[in-house]
Amino acid sequence: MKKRMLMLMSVVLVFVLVFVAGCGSASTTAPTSNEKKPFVIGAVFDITGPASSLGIPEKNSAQMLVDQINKAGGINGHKVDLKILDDKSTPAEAALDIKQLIEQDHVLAVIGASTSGASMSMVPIAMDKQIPMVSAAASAAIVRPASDHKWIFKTAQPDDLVAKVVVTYLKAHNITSVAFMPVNNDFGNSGLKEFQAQAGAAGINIVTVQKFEASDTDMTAQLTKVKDAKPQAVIVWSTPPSAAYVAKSYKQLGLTMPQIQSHGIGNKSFIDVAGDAANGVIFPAGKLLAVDTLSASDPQKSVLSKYASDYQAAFPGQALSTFGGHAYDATNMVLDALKASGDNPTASSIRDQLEKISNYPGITGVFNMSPSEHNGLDTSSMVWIKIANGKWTLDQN
Amino acid sequence: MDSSSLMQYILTGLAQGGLYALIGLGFVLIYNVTGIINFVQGEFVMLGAMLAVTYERMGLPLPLVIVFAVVSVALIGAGLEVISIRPARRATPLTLIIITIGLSMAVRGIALLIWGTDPLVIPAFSGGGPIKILGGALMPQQFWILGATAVSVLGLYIFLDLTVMGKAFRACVINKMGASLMGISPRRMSTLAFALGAAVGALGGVVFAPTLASYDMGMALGVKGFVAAVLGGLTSVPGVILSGFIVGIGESFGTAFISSGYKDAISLFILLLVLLVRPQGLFGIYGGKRV
Amino acid sequence: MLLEVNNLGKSFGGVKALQGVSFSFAQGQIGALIGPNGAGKTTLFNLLTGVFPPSSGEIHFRKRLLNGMSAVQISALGMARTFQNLQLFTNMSVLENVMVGCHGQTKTGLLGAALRLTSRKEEKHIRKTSLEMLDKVGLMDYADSPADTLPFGQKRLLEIARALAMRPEIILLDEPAAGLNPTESRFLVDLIYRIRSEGATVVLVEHDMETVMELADKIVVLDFGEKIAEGTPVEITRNDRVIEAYLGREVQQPA
Ligand SMILES: Nc1ncnc2c1ncn2[C@@H]1O[C@H](COP(=O)(O)OP(=O)(O)OP(=O)(O)O)[C@@H](O)[C@H]1O
Ligand SMILES: [Mg+2]
Repeated sequence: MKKRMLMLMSVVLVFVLVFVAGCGSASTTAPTSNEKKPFVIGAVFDITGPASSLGIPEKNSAQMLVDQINKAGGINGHKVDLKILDDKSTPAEAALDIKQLIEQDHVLAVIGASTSGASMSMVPIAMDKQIPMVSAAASAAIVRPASDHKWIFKTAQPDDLVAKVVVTYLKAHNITSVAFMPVNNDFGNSGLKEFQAQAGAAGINIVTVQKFEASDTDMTAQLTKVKDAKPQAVIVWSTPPSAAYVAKSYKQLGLTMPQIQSHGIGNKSFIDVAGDAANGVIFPAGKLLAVDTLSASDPQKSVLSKYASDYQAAFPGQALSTFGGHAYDATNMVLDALKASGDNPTASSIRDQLEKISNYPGITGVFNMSPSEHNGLDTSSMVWIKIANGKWTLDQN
Repeated sequence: MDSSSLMQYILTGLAQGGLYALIGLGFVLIYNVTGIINFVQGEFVMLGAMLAVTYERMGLPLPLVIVFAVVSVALIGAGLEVISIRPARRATPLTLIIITIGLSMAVRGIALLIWGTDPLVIPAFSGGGPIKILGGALMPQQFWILGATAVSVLGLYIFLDLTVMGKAFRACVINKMGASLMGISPRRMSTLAFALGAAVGALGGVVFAPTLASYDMGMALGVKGFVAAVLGGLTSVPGVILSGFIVGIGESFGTAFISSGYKDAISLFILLLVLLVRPQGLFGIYGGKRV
Repeated sequence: MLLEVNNLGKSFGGVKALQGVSFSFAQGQIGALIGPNGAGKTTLFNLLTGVFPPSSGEIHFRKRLLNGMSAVQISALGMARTFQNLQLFTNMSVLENVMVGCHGQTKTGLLGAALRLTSRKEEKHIRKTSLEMLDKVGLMDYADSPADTLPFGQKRLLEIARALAMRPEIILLDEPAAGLNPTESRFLVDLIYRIRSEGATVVLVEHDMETVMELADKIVVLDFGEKIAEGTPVEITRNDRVIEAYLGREVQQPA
């Protein structure tokens, strides 16, 4: 009896432990200046947890930009104080983080979060407190419809845009039956929804949908089902490391149809984890990954080159990622909106400036915001990348 | 579903189950000698994987990477026992379990500081493509995992059954008072149990490192090993090995036919069910201890 | 004196199991500890071997104070024992039980053992000594049987072999003849003489007076936790308090 109690007790403990591990908090604070009152802005990124491969370059990029501005004397003589919080890749923490930023730090604007789920949980709070928020995450639902999302903007390509790019590619290659493998979180599910919405009209048949968890490390079971369904191509909608385990299991099962992944794998971590199983994978991405092969006439060329060289100088040994670019764009937009707001910027003046952004070349694409469009990107912001020999190469097909 | 698909689910489950068995083995070793359910076990796996990455990056050849990682973690395990479990020897088992939970958090935190949050990997131990078995396929690395499980069981058998120290270890499991009157120090055996438990956990981490080495990998794997250990009755080596494979295969089929989202829930559900019907586990002997 | 006990006391909660007990045994003696049931004989053995600490008094063994030492430390000084209620390592073979007794003679440390560096020579040697011990108690033929399959009397002999494997200076036997048939008892008496002749000191707790009177050089008698007499077998048989203690409670004595 005692033994039985002990065991049951330990099972309960395991649950408690799993829960507790998800909580706790950590924060980073930039030093404040002592001259004119600093402008305080906030950021929430997925610095730890499964999405940390997104959050870390985002944190770095945002901090790098703010440091550059402060070194150059700040904005109209005001230093910028960037408060960065870690949401540990969980929506619940993200909501707490944005509350803390708004209520305790009185930030003028919030950047983040890294993932769609975390961003979605921040949206109602930003709306309620009327603080502009610029998300670096993918899901279109974060900003749509713009009429209901007055205070919310985002810099990453929305899923429907990426889905359009993928559908266009499939049509061009006469692929009419695909398997769809989304990671079971907001990013994957939203990708699935957008793709389903567009595939039918384009005559593309989704023969099976196989989900997996962000923490899974072996996808052979799902891919065996995919294999049995015999699609012409497989579309994977996830981020590393789980996206990389799909590629690994793909290789294990010897699957040969094209493996199309999403823009979610635009960081080095995918190739690191997948190893040679990464070779042959194609995916749509922002132009950053192909910055070296971009023509000089491209409107983004100069901003991309500057970001690439600045980032690699500031964080030697760390690879570029499109996610860092999303946060860089978001931070840049907020800083520019501050600049345009004069000596007394308010949340509402920043919001108005953000909505006026037009023909704005960023890392992610050329942005054109408007009262009805709070992302402002089109398909020209994306290129196809193929991984060959462990490197990103522009896929011209 | 054809038979090759079925085979694939089984193979995937076996490879994963081998890892769970190895982790569960650590739980069993430590539980038998100390009566503690050691929740640092998952972190031993993580440390094994992390140190494998570190040693690999230092340019050491693979055999040394394996040996150094396993020995380092064994020493860490022994050290943790001496500084945290030994002083609290007289505490209740529940207190000791809570101490190990605290330790696991500390270890994870330190790992975060040392290695950061990026998932890391080392190259697979042997190259080459997948190996086909009856229509299913396994990567060579998965054979390394199964091999590590086999080597651990064999090594433990040699140690426990064929060496005097191993017999002393078993004596301490069977009758602690009798053993201490034979000059066998239960304290030393407790340290030894932690060292051995840490070593098998670390070996699991090392062979898993080509898949994943991440500061936060320990808990999920530790829970699976714990489930395997309890399912196997907590006291039996063959029981925990078999249970590891049961959990692995259950997970693989659960992923294929229900959803990968439920696989953790499934293994815990099986565990609860087994505990309610057979509190001594599938293979445990009620009240009696054996290794 | 090899073993000296001064004013030893032990209470369990309110129960005074031992009180003010003093005696000593010399090197090479066969000593005996007798007394009615519940007199405190096993408790005394438990104190001597460090199973639990005394409540008062002192124990000296080989001129060392044992108070405060752990059972492991005391065993390392050369004290071995058997148990009234057997404490064999079940699930282990007869030979393995004895080999565990030899454990203290391995020189390989913990780290070495963990890394499996115990030398094969050492192990071979231990196996050989253990077999000799089994031979000495007549259990050679059962070496590979599981210990818990032995008949009761042979389990007692196995405990003695295991204790001898520790190469003790002194060996404490708690009712070694209980449950033995006459042939086995005879063998036991010879065995105890042999142990003494090989240099060890023996202290036994025994209810069977015939055995005690035959074997013991010196007898200590306990009753209700107190020493009521000490002396040679002849002195003890003539002691009034001993006679009273035994005869007075004859009715309550179990068979
Ligand atoms: N661990 C213990 N806790 C509480 N009381 C104990 C303990 N051990 C012994 N006693 C008590 O101490 C007294 C002496 O017991 P002990 O076993 O030493 O007697 P004994 O002389 O060995 O008797 P027997 O001839 O029956 O073996 C008894 O009253 C017993 O109940
Ligand atoms: Mg007794």
